[in-house]
Amino acid sequence: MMNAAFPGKRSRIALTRCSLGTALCATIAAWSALASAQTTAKEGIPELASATFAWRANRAEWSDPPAGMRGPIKNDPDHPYHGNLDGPGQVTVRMGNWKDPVLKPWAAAQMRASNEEVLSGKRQVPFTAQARCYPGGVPGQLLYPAEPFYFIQTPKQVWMIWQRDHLVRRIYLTDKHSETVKPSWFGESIGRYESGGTLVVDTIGLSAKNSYIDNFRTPHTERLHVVERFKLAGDGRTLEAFVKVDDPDTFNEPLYMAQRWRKVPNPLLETVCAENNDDHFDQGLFPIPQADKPDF
Amino acid sequence: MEDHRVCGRAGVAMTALLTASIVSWPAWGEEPDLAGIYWAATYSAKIEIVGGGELPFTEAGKAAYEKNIAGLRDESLSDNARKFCVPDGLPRAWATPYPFEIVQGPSGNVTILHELNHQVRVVRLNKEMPAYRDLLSFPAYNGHSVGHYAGDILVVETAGFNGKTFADATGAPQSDAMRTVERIRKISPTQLEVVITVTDPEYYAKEWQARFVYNLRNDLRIEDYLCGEEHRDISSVAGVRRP
Repeated sequence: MMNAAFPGKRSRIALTRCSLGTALCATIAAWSALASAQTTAKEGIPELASATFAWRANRAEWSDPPAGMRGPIKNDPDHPYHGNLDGPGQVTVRMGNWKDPVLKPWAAAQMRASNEEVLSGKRQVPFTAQARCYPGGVPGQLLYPAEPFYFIQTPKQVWMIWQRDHLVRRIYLTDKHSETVKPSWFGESIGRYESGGTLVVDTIGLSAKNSYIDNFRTPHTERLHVVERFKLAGDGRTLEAFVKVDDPDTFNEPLYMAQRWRKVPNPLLETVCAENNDDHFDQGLFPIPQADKPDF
Repeated sequence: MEDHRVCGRAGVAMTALLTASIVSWPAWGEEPDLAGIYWAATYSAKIEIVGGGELPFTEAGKAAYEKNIAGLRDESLSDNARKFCVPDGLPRAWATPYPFEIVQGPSGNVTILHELNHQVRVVRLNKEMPAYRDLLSFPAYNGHSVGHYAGDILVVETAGFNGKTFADATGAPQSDAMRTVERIRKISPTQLEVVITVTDPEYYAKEWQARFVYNLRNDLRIEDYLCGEEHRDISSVAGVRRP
């Protein structure tokens, strides 16, 4: 599928692999690939990248998948969430439902402890990755609202750039993960375009420390495997991601969830998270990342 | 015999393909291919200016530099690019011992993405510099950049800096009136050169230039970088000293 979308790649591979005796068939194959690809390239590759528009989410929580599928972790029903946009009333913070039976005991215990930190008053505001200048990980980064994110698309790679703190994810358009992947915040993402204009991103190698799959502080292990399917909705002004989260050391079954963004006219600006990000009101905020001694 | 004929036809077809490729190369004056991952082989904490010698400080510049040096020494002043990993600003972002990448996209932009502090610079091609009031209203560590291609060179003009940066790791001062022009080009198939001209009349009596050369390293991938964590081994970059 990928080679059909990117004819140059196929023709080069075809030519280098053929001996001179088979060069003719290779050349013909290359030309026919080129001809067919020009008709399919546009259909198969959604136009996500632009110098002038970007994608902005309104929700910092996962939406439900289609009925019948195991959905995301929700708020603890004993401590209902009341956000800034939820009308009059005291705003509360997000308390994850640690009693959800999908959670392995260690994950439930960790989420409960995080909630206890808030209930006991130790932290008025629990850890929130991007509010405290940490990467949101995969798929958590997709939940950053209010400021848009950008794509760059080239035949071999896709970049996702969040305006907020200029965080960058890189997706390599190849069909195999590396043999060894050093765990990191955004892991190793490989991707492909599927017919119908879907960008499918497969990610492994995600480090687990301070990394959560949502804003309920649902943890994961380094066995986390995420598959995201990005697709433009009918009018081309909405981007949707359908996400599968699989981590057999954290969840008893895979979770499925969705996020949506609206297309916004907004060139990329510099937004620096660490700027004026102190704990001015003694809320016990999680400290922002800093280097105790300079890196070099 | 049959093989020869096939080879002959293959030769004709190959020639046609190559000719087609040559014809489809960008004509002179179109954008050069600057895309790739680059990594410096050397690092200097103190900026080395073209032509040698010291930075041409004004009186105010000299005083500010001495104040910065003293402040960094007694820690009354913090180097926020290293301590909190805010963007380095220019030209310091170029004095990076970490790899960076240049992407000629999305269409209409060139994007420069640094591993260090995951800085992203957007260069808007063939656009006017934003109006003075907008630059004043939205100052940025790495400023606001517009660019164009001049032959094989990407010329980038930047203004609208926030004055919170140092020109180098020793604390050379910078004001928000600074403007820079970068000339970015390939000097060989595997080497990138950046020459930056810095104009900052508040602190410098005349414009000055710095030159940086990087090796093309498309064998690397840019890694995640978070302040205070362990990062890539940069011991191969001459001049780097880890405290």
